[in-house]
Amino acid sequence: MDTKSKNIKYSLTGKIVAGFILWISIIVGLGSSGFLLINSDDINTSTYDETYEYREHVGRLIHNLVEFATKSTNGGQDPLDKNRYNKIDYNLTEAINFNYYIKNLKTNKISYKIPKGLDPEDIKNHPNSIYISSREDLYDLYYYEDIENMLSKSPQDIYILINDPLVAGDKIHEIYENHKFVKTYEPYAIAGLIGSLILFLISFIYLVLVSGRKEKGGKIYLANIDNIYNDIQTIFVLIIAWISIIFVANTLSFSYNKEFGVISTAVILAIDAVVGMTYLFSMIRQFKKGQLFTNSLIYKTLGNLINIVKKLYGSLYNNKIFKPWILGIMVIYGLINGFLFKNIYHTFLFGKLTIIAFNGIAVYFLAEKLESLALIMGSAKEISEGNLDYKIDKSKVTKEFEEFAGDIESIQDGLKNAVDKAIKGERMKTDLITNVSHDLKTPLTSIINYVDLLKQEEIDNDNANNYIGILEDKSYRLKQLIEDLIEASKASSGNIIINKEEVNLNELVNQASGEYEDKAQEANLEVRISSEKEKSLIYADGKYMWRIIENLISNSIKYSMPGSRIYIDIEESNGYGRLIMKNMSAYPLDIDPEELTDRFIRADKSRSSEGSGLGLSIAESLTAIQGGRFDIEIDGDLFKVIVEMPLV
Amino acid sequence: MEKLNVLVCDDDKDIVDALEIFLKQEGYGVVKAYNGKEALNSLKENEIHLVLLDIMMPEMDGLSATLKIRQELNIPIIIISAKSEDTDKITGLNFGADDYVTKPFNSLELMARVKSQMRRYTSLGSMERENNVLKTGGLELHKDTKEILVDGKSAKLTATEYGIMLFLMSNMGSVFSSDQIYEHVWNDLACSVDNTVSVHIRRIREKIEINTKEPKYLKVVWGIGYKIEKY
Repeated sequence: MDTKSKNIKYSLTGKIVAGFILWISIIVGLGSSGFLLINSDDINTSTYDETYEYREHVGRLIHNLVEFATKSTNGGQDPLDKNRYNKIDYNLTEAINFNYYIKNLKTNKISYKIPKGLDPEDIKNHPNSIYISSREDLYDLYYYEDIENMLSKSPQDIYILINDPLVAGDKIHEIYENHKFVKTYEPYAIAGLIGSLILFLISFIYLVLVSGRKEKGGKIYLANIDNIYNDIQTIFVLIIAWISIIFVANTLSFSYNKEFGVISTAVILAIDAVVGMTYLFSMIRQFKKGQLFTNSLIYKTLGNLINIVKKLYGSLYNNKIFKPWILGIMVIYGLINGFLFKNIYHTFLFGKLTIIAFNGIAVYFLAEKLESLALIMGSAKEISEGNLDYKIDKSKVTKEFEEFAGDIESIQDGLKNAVDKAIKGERMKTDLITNVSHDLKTPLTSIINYVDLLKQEEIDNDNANNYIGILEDKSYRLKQLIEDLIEASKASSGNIIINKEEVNLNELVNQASGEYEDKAQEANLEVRISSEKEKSLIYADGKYMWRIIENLISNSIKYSMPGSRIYIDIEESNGYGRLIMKNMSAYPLDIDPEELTDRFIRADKSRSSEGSGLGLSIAESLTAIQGGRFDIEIDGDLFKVIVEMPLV
Repeated sequence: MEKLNVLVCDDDKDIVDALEIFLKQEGYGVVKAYNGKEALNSLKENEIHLVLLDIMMPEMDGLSATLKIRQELNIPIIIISAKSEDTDKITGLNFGADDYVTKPFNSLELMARVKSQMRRYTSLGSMERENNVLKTGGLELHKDTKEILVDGKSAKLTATEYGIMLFLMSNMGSVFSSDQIYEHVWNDLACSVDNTVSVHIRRIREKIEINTKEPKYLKVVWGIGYKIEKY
């Protein structure tokens, strides 16, 4: 039961009914109060002859009468002109309920207008007649000063009498009828006003409470219209109101048809009531939702502006990197300049000199700050180019940029520490490998020497001799491994000294192929050299270039298919001298080129053969150290190495 | 002939013993020491003609010992060390050593070096200079006999090899490219992409050098050319 009533209370039907009641009560209320206001003259008086309209009309008629009596009959001293006379005559004739009796006290001429069956002299004694000529009766009449003035010039005895009962046909009767009408409907209007007021209050309070809600204390639901910005809505409502007022005012004041005016006004009011209610409840819903002010174009625009300013402010001044007063100083500078130009510029030399001096000082200060910034930017560039020992001259940096300079310095220190640590680490690693290698070499020396001595012993045992041969091979292989290990660690850590000079790549390749001619022939391989130019001069360390080529050639002699050819091409391209070495592998190269240069990686099948597997790694490291490029390409069994070195 | 004595000094006893055997096979007398101090004492007590000296030893290291020996004696000193860096070799030679051999060494090579140093030391008297002889270190080129002697021993070179040596030794210390050598020796225009000269050079080295990988006389300047080192 309770919930049901609640449901009804918050139901759409309930709201529509209440809205309709509210609308009706507004129309009725406005209509009633309009009726009461328009007819307030009649409302405020108990009889029709007390109304302002009646007194004004009768006063006018009396004035006309006095004017007619005093001016038309006094013999031309102050004559009435023809138009005025006709007008007055018309007015007096029209007013059929207005009777009078006039006696000129100089000429004793009598003129009158009286109801039929009444003697002119009787009017004097009629209980309802008014004697105009006496002051006491005059003073509450309109125009009485004028009337008194006219009577003093030409004394008259004037009596007037208003018909009782009134005869229909003139304005006095109209006033009487209107008064009767108003008095008849006054109670209804008052009742309508009070009733509509009560209904208005009830339905309004009800709607205020339930609008936007579907249940008690529930969520606020907005209507579609609420999506329109509030200030736009307000402007729209104001425009409607303005149009209505103009229309109503025009209709009421210029329309000849009074009924049309009243009806059209009522229609407009009814429409306005709907508009107003819609607007009002939209505001109420939004007030409930708490967006009365936020859902407005002004707020949104201002909000966006504020956000933009906040964001700007935030990005500039967050973390206290920039001081807010810097912007302040800029604004003040602009203001001062503007002030100076507006007020002082025109005052002879002094003004111009002041402006020049002021701007000169400003530019000087700015230049000082910019110099600091330039110093810091310069140091940042030096650091980025690898000069980690560059020092900012802090004495030249202004206070504003001290912190910035400090930050750059600490970045520099951090970088330096990291680089130093890395270098130190690499050096320690190299030192470790070198030292361990030294320790390995001493026992290896003994092994090699005693294997030599064993060989000299004439052992009459083929197996023993065979074993000794294996020992000799392996001890020499161990020696090679240790030497390669040292070289690889030094080359990859960059722990070697490079002496660059002009090196002829062609000569180098010739020399290398000469060194390996016999070995290539032993392995049944042919080395073919071709070059674009007779002389390709690169800028490198000849000794390490030889180590690279030595490694590559010995590598290809070791792993090439017997009976195949090794091609060495020398080219020049893009400022680099290129050495391209190609050979056919004897074993499938199912391996990633990058892995080949990783230390100790070799094609699995060749693991057992001679070599340390460091050759390509050493070659790559030595190439990189000299500022060159090293690249391996594998295409099936074709193995291709490209070494590029800067040309001279 | 008086027996020549070699002082072998290394803290590794096995190496010293092995060297003793090799040296005795070559007919030298051997005195053993196991650190720098012992080596100096042995030098005072014995007549020594050559010293084989390790660097890394307890009590006194090889370099200090070399300095001490050089203050009094002019005998050849060959350093045998596991330290194989270029800088190590340069330091050793600058301290007064005559040769530097890295461990692990080849016994044949070491013996060759010992003999070479011994010949130089014992044949100091034969300093006669002849116009027809070009000489650097233990390398001699006799123009009249068209012969090349290494530490007094004849190296058997072919006519072309001799021509190359004559050209290089006449301009000792200067570097010549393969093309230049070819043009001078073959008296022909050099065709660039060819390793004729470098093959010949390698063969010469095999005949005159003790260790072809670390030549003493006929040196390769990689990417530039070849030269004869001037001593």
